[in-house]
Amino acid sequence: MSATLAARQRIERLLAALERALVPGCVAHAELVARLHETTSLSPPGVEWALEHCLERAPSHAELTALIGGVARAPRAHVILPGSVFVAAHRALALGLAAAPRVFVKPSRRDPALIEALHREDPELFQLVERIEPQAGDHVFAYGSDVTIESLRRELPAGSVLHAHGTGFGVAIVELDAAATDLDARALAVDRGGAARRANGAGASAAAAELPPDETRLARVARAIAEDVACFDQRGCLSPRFVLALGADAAALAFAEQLAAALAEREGSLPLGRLDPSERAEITWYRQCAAYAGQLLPAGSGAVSVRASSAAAALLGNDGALGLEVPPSGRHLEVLAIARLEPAIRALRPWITSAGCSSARVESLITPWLGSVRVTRVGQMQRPPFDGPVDRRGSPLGEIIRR
Amino acid sequence: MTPAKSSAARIASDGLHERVRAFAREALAPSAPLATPRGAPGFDPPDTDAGAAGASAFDALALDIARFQAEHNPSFARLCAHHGRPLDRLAHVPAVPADAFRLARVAAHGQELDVAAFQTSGTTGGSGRHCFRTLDTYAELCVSWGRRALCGHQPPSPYAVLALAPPFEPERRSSLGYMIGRFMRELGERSLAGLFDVNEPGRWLISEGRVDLDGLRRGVRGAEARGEPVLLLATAFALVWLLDALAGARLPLPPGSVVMLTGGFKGRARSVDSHELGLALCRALGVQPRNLIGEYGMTELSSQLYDVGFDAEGRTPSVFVEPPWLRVTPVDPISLEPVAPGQVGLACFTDLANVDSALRVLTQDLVRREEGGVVLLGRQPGARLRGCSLAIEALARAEPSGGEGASP
Repeated sequence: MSATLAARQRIERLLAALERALVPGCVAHAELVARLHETTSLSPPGVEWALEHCLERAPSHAELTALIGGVARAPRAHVILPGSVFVAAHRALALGLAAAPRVFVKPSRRDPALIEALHREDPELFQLVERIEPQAGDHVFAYGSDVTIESLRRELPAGSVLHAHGTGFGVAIVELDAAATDLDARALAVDRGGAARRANGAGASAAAAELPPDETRLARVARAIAEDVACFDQRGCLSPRFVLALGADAAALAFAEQLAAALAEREGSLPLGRLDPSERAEITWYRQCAAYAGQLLPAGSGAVSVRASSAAAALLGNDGALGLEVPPSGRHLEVLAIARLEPAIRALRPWITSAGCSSARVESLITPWLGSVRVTRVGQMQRPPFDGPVDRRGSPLGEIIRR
Repeated sequence: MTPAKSSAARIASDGLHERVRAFAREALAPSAPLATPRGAPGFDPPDTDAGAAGASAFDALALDIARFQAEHNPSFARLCAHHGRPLDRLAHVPAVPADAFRLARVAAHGQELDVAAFQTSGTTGGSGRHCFRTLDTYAELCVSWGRRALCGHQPPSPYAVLALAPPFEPERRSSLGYMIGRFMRELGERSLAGLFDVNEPGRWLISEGRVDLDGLRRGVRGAEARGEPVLLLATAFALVWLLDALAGARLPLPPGSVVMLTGGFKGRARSVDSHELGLALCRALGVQPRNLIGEYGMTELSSQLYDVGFDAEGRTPSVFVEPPWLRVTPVDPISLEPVAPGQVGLACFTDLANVDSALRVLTQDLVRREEGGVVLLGRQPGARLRGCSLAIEALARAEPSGGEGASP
């Protein structure tokens, strides 16, 4: 049997185990859901919603082929799971299984529910461990903050291969006035190599004419972003934290108000779960900063802050994402009014794990700037195809540890 | 800001500066009481009645400064509106988070009036600025409290003031560098050779990330020849460099010498236990433990705190003493309300000397109040790393520093 076929079979076993754990009405399912309510800090509807919409239960053949093809083979794989997003255990394990026949998984202390449920369904598929003990040649898939990853990097033996998924966040990109953003429309034309469009921008005008009136369009975009934010209470690395709002300051403020309303509305059906004291302290700090440096709008339990284009440009220009105060989890967003998209994207690029776009043309425009980073439409940011890691910033080959 | 409003703001600011300086002079007058730790060198015991009167005067002046800032700084006005409480008592004045200095301009005056803009260390990549319309208050107060804390009640005697820091730079980007320069001018005021010059080579003993050990030896010999003690001003990390350079050798400072140590090892690949460092310094430089004095300052503040000397036996944590025009309140990180006495909270500074920037500054440093001052307990977990040591070292090496960002 080829290594690829064996990898596919292991992942199919994983998918089968997942299905068994999620059969509606069965004991395993009820136990898993009850446990997730305890371990995730999400509200019960938040758990149900994530199970239904964000867990990849039926990936396509092409997606599986891509996932398996994107992972180097190894004798053993070690997976260190994050505690922030419970469904992440599934994909992380799949990547480990794609890499190696022997997989050791260190669950998150905070949220081991899903991985333990999968292990119960197929105990031979992988091994749960308290600590990983990799050797040279082994691959290690690690998820966590940059500090955690750096600490791990120092401990790994020479010759092991690290696939690190560290600090990052999602960004939503919104054209506030689709008809007026001619600058980027021209860039889009250049990007597509359309000489005629480059000459007169006609393509951009045509594209804008296809869009619904801005008020309707932007309300829909706001609701879609609210969906991406509310999922996992914004704890995941795909969750949008910033909205790059392409347009004038007044339009950005108006959109922020729509966004705040959409977040409050979404909270009605998808309530915020529990926040631990450190998260609440981060929120307090952020709100103080945001109220001082821009406008802060209440948005249900969360908030939306707005930064005028002059301030946003200065911060992005000087220090990139680190010049900004990254909004905390718990449904907080910062809307940055920007006049030009490319400098903002380039400044934030090292931290962007996912970009959600308000339109297909924005999607086309920014995809080349972001390399392998996941680019999708708003509302879909939490549902990346099951074709590889969600965070694709690092090399698929990983990093060989040298001493 | 219109010219008329700018002019009115300047007049109001000048008045407040004058009141703050008068408050400080009165509080530090030889006859004035100070609430300080028992046994602290150079400090008088507290007097309750006078202390209460001082507190009332402090609150009144603080409220006037807060109202001035709300009137002339739209960002602060927005923060006040966010909190929704009238500025009728000090507890109602919202604290400006230290990160605001990185995210926005924190000033009640226009940029064209800046005479200095001290740069925060920005150890996570983003650095902020504390802008000043005048440095008169800063200069007077840092020297008066520094003199009291470092030199005690001894009559103004000349010190040979030396710094383990890179040379003073005229752009005035480093608040610590500026303060050290003022100390050289006011506490030393003597030339090492010839006329006094704050930029005199031989005073600033770090360049290109290295300690000028020969320069320090020359400075010590010069002080000995004149019968003067040395006042050595340094960051903790620079002192580690010094110990490294000495490689176990001793370089005794003249009797009565004082070492001011500031900053820690935040964000460093290398960290040294502060107690071990203190013992090693006392041994290598021959200073009395009580003359190894810790300083705590932040670029976002205009005032500094000092401890009362090194406890060589390590029995008690360092208690840092505020000057009378600065108040440190530990606050709950979620509610921002003051914590119960003896409890740990985020340090919220009310600094009367911050007339033109932010009266109250909220930090992510954890503190606990003890009799006479505050004990520093490190950073709130997850907070950005910052620090004076890093600022000085970044200037010395002219290289950016790294750090962590948000958690995924």
